[in-house]
Amino acid sequence: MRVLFRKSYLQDIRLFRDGVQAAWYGAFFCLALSAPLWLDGYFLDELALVYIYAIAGLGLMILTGFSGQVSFGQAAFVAIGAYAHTILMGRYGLPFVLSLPATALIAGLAGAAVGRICSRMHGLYLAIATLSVAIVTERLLGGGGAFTGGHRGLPVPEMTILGLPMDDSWKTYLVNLVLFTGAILLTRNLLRTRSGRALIAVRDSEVSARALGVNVAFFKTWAFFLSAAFAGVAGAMLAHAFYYVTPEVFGMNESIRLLLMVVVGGLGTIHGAVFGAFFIVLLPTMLSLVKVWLPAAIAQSGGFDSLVFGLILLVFILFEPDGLYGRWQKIHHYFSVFPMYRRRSFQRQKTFLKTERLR
Amino acid sequence: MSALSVDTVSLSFGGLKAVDALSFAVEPGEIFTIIGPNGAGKSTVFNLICRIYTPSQGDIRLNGRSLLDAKPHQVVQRGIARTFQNIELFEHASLLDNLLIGRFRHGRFAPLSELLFLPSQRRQELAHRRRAEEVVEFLDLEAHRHVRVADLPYGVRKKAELARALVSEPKVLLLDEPSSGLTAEETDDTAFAIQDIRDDLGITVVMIEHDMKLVGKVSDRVLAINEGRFLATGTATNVQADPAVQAAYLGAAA
Repeated sequence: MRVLFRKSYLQDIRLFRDGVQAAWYGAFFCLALSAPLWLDGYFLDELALVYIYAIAGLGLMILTGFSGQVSFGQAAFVAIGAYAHTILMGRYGLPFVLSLPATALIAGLAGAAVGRICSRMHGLYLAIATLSVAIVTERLLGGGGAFTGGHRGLPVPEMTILGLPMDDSWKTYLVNLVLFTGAILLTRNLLRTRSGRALIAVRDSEVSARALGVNVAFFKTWAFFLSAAFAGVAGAMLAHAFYYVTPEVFGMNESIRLLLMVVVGGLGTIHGAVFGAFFIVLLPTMLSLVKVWLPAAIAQSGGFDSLVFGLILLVFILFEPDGLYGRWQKIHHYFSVFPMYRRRSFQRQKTFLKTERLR
Repeated sequence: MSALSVDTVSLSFGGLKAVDALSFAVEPGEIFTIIGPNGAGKSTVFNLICRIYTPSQGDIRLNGRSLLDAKPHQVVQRGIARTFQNIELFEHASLLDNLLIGRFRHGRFAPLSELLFLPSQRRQELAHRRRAEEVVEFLDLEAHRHVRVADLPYGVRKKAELARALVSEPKVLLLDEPSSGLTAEETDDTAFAIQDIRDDLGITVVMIEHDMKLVGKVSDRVLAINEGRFLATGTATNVQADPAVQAAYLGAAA
């Protein structure tokens, strides 16, 4: 077990805890960067999809994991992003490099509007309100006539960055990798500064957040803005991955899938969003590999994927509420203190004294 | 001029008069204690000062300026910090992060510079950390800096909440039962801490407290209230000897 000796305040501010950690993440980044060399097209596209979902997941993590607001409406902002990007590029001829930030802004503002309206809601009420946003958005896009292409949808223009056509798997893969890395960095930066801490304050105790000067409604709206902006970028990249956008792709199911992603990954951690994205994108692929070995009656039945997905979720909620990342931390801890690990090491101390909360 | 003055303030919840034409004034550099039986309206007075409730009558002034035009999150800007009766820390964050949130009022919302973590942010973070460390040292919290608050023992959490209020550098500090749930030894520590806060940091302290030993040791003046009404004010011994106060605690003599 390594013990960290702190000699400077900067050690708590830097991105990486120490050289060892920096080396690990550096190695992972190099591995990801070199993936086009050793992965074939199909898996490369799958991996790019993981990155895209991870961006949306990071957004949702900011909202649900860090500022504590449950949202069943994340897919709505993914949809807004996808459509805004497609329309800006296809109809108004904006280049990719301008359209993407504009998309983030549009989705972000839509998110901020929802966030401002919902800033007094908590828990179940917020969940229902955001769920209705998801439903309404899907309907609006479907009924948008020629502007959104209605239920038939819109074709997505080719991705060209500064005149270079992104016509190969490895090129789009790298674009997605860059955006994904950027999203992680932005989230990390947010968490080590004042606004990020304000979000955590709002999550853990609104009363004392307010007593310390945090404008709760404002920072909830800010969380919604950031979360929706991330979702918008993910939506734009998803549009390029699918070549065609239709309202059905971004329905309620997708919202629930995104929320499940951050729960299974591990709420309240950046790792959780990434682990969750791997889980949610690669699970169908894994299942199709497993299906070959199953009797046809089971493998061919319609609900098989949903069943497995639901079961895995159930198992996580019952046995590992900290998600994949929480499990990873426990395994890591087990080996780093071997043979001293105890099951109690991670047990939470229950708090019995809780102020009757002033809301 | 009084540091904090509460001027004929009333508040009712429906038919219940929680605070009834209550007036008192706290002088700068004073340790002022509010006592009273359960349900006397002590915490309600704090919540009125912190603008969680709005008085139906009367005025609350800080250094002569009315507080009633401040929103709850602006109260700390005016220089009032508080602790809560039953600890309201940010449970899932480390002690240090809790203290850094305490520095909130000394920063500005700068989204781009935060998201990109520009050098100016790094400088600010370091400055805030330095201020937080001063309080860590002041309250002997060094060993717990990086521990998640949920994992800290009760006494330390109580101290952590005091620390979080202090890092915001208030002029007036409101302590809601600083010794509740503490051991005798921890209570003594708290007494010294409160005196140091006044003597070394020059902060005016207003506290609600039930432990009369602690009250007697640290307070300059004591205010007794019951059912939201003024009973008596003066030194701890005088107030304890007051017949109205004794009647409120023990019931009126037959």
